[in-house]
Amino acid sequence: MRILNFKKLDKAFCLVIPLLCISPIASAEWDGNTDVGIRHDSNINNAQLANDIAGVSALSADVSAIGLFPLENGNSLSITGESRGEAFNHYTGLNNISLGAALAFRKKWALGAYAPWTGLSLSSTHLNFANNIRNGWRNQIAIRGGKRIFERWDVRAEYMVERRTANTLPQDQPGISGDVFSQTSRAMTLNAEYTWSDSLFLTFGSLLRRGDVVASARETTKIISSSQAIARDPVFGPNFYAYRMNGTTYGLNVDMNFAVTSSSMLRASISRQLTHTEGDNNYAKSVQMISWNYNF
Amino acid sequence: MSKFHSIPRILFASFMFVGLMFAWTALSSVSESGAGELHAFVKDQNGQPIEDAVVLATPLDGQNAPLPKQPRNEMDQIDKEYVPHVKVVTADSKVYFPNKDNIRHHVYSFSPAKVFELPLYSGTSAPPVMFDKTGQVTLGCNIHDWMLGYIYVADTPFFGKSAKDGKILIADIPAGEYSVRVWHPDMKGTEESTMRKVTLDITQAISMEWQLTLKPVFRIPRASGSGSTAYR
Repeated sequence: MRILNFKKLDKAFCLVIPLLCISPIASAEWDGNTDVGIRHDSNINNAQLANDIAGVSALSADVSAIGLFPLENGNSLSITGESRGEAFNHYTGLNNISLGAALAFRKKWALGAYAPWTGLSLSSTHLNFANNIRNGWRNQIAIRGGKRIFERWDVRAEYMVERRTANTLPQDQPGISGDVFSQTSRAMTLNAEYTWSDSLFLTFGSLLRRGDVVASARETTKIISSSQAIARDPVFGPNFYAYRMNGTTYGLNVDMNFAVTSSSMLRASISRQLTHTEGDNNYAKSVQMISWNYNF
Repeated sequence: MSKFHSIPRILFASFMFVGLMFAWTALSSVSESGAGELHAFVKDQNGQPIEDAVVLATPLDGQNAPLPKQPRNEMDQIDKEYVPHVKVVTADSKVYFPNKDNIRHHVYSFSPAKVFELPLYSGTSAPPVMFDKTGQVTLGCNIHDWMLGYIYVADTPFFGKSAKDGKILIADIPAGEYSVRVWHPDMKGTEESTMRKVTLDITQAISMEWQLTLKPVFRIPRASGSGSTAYR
């Protein structure tokens, strides 16, 4: 019995090759990006008490590839693959590598640079930490919209739902789950970008996030009573526990992006976040970051 | 006296006659063609030469000047930019928009002189566009917001565009009276405010100079602060 019909294969090639040549794939725009940066987080473990707060710095590197497929009627599709790594100066259990992909659809509702646009994106990332209690998947779905409102001002808004799944850890407190690193949240961000010049951009952003937060701290009655899940967190020390609670985060950020050359950009950002949780286990943090991005 | 002694005189007279005939013919042909030259220089408010300034000489006698043979008019798209940045064509010209990038572009214009769009295409598949009204046509790309180009549709075949040195030469202009004006996409004020009447003849070239005030122009930058792509 003939397993492969070469005549049919020949015909298939004759059909497929020309189709590939005229398909949108052939005229897609492909971009590669690499990003190297340093981040300082004043409260990486989201702790409330001064004795528990851990400030750290981390070096990060990121490589991504983006394919943009312009479609008819102002529509476009993009596919992104990204790999990222982070290494911390302390608490090396937080060192991580992630691998993810995203698919985004965007529609421009008119012709021209001032046309409003909307979009939908789906992404999935696998997170791998040196201390594997945090390993898991991060899945996001977001709707976005934006418009250039003046010649130098471009505004955009995003509503995102995020679900993180991780392994359930051994239960530490009776009646309270050990599934501390599985989280669900919703976040709304608003950003306004100001173009200072051909190469200098300033972004002003705000964040409102509601959902699960995880704080790692020494055990207190107050935090235990507010937690939906608890597990030991050896990353920060033998007496530290991770607590999952419900919280609301308010944040502000200012970013500066400077195009050093036609292919590279220097970025600096500063953000401040305040989180209010159930049971008043509130915490604050500041994050500063500087990075260099190269486009190829 | 032998007739042979008069031959040199006859030859001399013949040469003189032929020479005079040539000279008369040459002078007649020059005066009939009436071709002149106009040299122009355009600078900005700081005295710096301006590139892409267009000088136009429109005959005042109202006669339609014969159009010289038009080259194929093309506005290229190269490395996600329009090339040239400014193109001048006469009214009722066709312009082709070849896309020399390996990605698709979507050319459009909202200008009153010509509203049109060439939806997503690559290569040379887009049909040419007829520009029948005079005036400025501003071009954009719906995919790449920073792409900007201009087509100026002229009411006269006598025009020139300046290079980086700000200089323009309009050659082979028939003798006569002309209204000469300047246009630049970033100029403050109108073309009409730059208008001057000039009489061109064949005896000497005319030099003209303009100083334009250019407005500060913001162009949507190619780089972007948002997103992961530094420079598009």
